Amino acid sequence: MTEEALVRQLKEGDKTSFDLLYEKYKNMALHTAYLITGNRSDSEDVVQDTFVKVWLHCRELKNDSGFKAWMMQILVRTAYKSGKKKSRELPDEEIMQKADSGQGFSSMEQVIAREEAETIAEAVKALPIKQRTVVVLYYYQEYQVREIAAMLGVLEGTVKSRLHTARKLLRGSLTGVSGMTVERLV
Amino acid sequence: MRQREDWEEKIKNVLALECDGVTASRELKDRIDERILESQKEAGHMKKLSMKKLAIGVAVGCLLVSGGAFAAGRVVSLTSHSYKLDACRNYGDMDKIQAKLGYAADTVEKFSNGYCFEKMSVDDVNGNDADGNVIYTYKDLNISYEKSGEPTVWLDVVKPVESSVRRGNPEATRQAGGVTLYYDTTTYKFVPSNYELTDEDRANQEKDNFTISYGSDEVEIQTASDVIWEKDGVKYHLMGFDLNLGADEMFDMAEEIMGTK
Repeated sequence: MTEEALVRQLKEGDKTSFDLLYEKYKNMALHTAYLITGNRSDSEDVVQDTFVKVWLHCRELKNDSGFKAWMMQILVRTAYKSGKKKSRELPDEEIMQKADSGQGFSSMEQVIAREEAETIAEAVKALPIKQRTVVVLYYYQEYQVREIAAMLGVLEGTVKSRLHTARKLLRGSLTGVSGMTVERLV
Repeated sequence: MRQREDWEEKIKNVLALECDGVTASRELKDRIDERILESQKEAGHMKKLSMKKLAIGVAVGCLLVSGGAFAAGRVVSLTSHSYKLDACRNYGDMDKIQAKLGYAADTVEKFSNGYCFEKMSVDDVNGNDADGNVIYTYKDLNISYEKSGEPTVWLDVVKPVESSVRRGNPEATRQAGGVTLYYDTTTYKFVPSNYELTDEDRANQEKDNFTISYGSDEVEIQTASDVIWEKDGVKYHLMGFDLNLGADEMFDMAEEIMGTK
């Protein structure tokens, strides 16, 4: 069964189709919300609100093949509102736990790589919500600028501007990190 | 795909590392279901289950008659009202649940392979005609079983008002206590929206047990496994996705439910 067929059935009130779509996108949605809000509890609230809205408003989706983009639009806007309401508050222990895990690194490279990863993560988290949202969508979820613009309900130029601003802020944060060649690339 | 510079890849990798271990919990889904149920109660919203969905047997937590098609022509859809808020996590309440169900059903609390009862609920199911009129109503029982590190197994029990007929050829069968058990699998291939079907995909689509689902970030394949049987007018459906269980193991679980093993 295609996703379009699932969406058609969802619009008829088929809870099983909803469950299958949720299973497919739940972790992608949670990761995006987590990176935007910076908080596990808030990100779960965002995902919860998003999928309840999906259930309640699915009949408003005009194009059955556009479910993912539509769902992500709801999620991103919900996360954005959540992020604006609350200051980012990722507990330090979560940061340190991840930083200390050293996943993917080994031996002499580990210290440098860990420092670099910590710095990058902190730099992204320190971005204002507007810039952080587009960075997450552009770099992590690999959406195109026009797709991000549609999700956020802004012009493409606005997204480009936010990306540009984010790059400048990241450059300021990352300059001097061992092994990084930010000046050349940003 | 966009060409990324080295630092951009590092950002993606770091963000991916940040998400490591962040997975949607079962409690989150329960909360979503509860919110939906509340909205249903408020709006009198009912969910409809298409006959096609029923026929291919992918439904979870609702009436499941995999491989079957309703004989009568009047009913074109089934409407199910789930009471997730009433989901019971105490197997000791099975008598109360079965009283609510209105008919006796074979169940077990624990399987010999380690799967254990997690929760159960009773749904109201309506058969509707083309105009949405309710032709009949009955109840079905949904039970989920969990085992550490393994996918969930669901048991759905229903006493169908209309007779059902089996279609297609099952992958395996077993006779137990005068009852025939049917085993089937259905493969779901989730693919990106721009995915181009291969010759193999096209050939697979001709099969009853293969479906393509567009919209995922990457190609992912999941397989649903089912065992169906009917005993004393009650239909049973044991199923799960990507189970580490073969036909014989699922047949054994079915027999444990039936009490013949």
